[in-house]
Amino acid sequence: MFRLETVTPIFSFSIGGFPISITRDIVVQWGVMLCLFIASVLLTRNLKRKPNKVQVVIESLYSYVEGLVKQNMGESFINFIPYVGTLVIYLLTLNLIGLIGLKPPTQNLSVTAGLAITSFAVINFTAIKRNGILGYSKGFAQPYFIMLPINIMERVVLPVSLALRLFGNMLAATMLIEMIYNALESVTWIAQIGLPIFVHGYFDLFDGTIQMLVFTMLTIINIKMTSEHH
Amino acid sequence: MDLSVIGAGIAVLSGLGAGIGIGIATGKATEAIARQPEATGKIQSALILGAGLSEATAIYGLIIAILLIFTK
Repeated sequence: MFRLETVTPIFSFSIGGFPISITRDIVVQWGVMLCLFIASVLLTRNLKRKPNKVQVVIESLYSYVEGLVKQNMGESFINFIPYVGTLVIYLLTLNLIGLIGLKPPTQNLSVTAGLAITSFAVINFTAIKRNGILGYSKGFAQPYFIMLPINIMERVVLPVSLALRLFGNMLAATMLIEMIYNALESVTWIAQIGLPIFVHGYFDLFDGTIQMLVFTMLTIINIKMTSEHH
Repeated sequence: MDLSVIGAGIAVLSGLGAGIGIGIATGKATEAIARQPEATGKIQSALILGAGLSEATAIYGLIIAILLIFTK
């Protein structure tokens, strides 16, 4: 029977009375960051004018992110392409790590909450930088003054829903895959080899990609709408 | 008999609304594609985005059910 296990830290130390514990999800994320960094340094070393095959793939990824930003945000937000590209690559890698055999770190609510708080900070700081503090606080009272609590609630609920959506989808996918493995094991040992490919294909590949797209598109649209409301 | 199990069962019923909503949206999307096949790319991305957003409400119910069953 499946049981939710509590997260136990591998290593725990405290800085000035504030406990910091290193759990297994943090170590997996460090490994992902290291691999992505090494891959990005190696792949962009010799860029030529006539591209070879690897460079074509990288350029198509860049033009996909650029198309997303230009179509949905307009020309004045072009310096957001690095942030959006980082979200796309990082979230896709985190969700697809389940294919290797490790548990994806996004099934931990703390990881998705951290990503959602980052997006919340980007959205609000962009609005403040483009409109000033006065324009930003005036935007809360639009279009009528009665909508002030509703506007505040809408801004606060957005990162909560982002975090919960990603967490819930990844947790459900992981639990279902484990249950299918357990059920197949109780039949016979051989049945575990071929059949779960379709399950992994749907839950890990399809679901992970769609959740990454929804997270990215929501961040993009909210950056545009929050800074242009005023 | 623990009442939290019944509560978990009622919480998952919120998937009903998500199923109906996404079904109606997919029907309208296929109608739009049939009327204008050259706009298939944009219609598809709008459909996938809307389905992902609307499925989040069903996932909230699932999270409550998991919390009720697997923790005391």
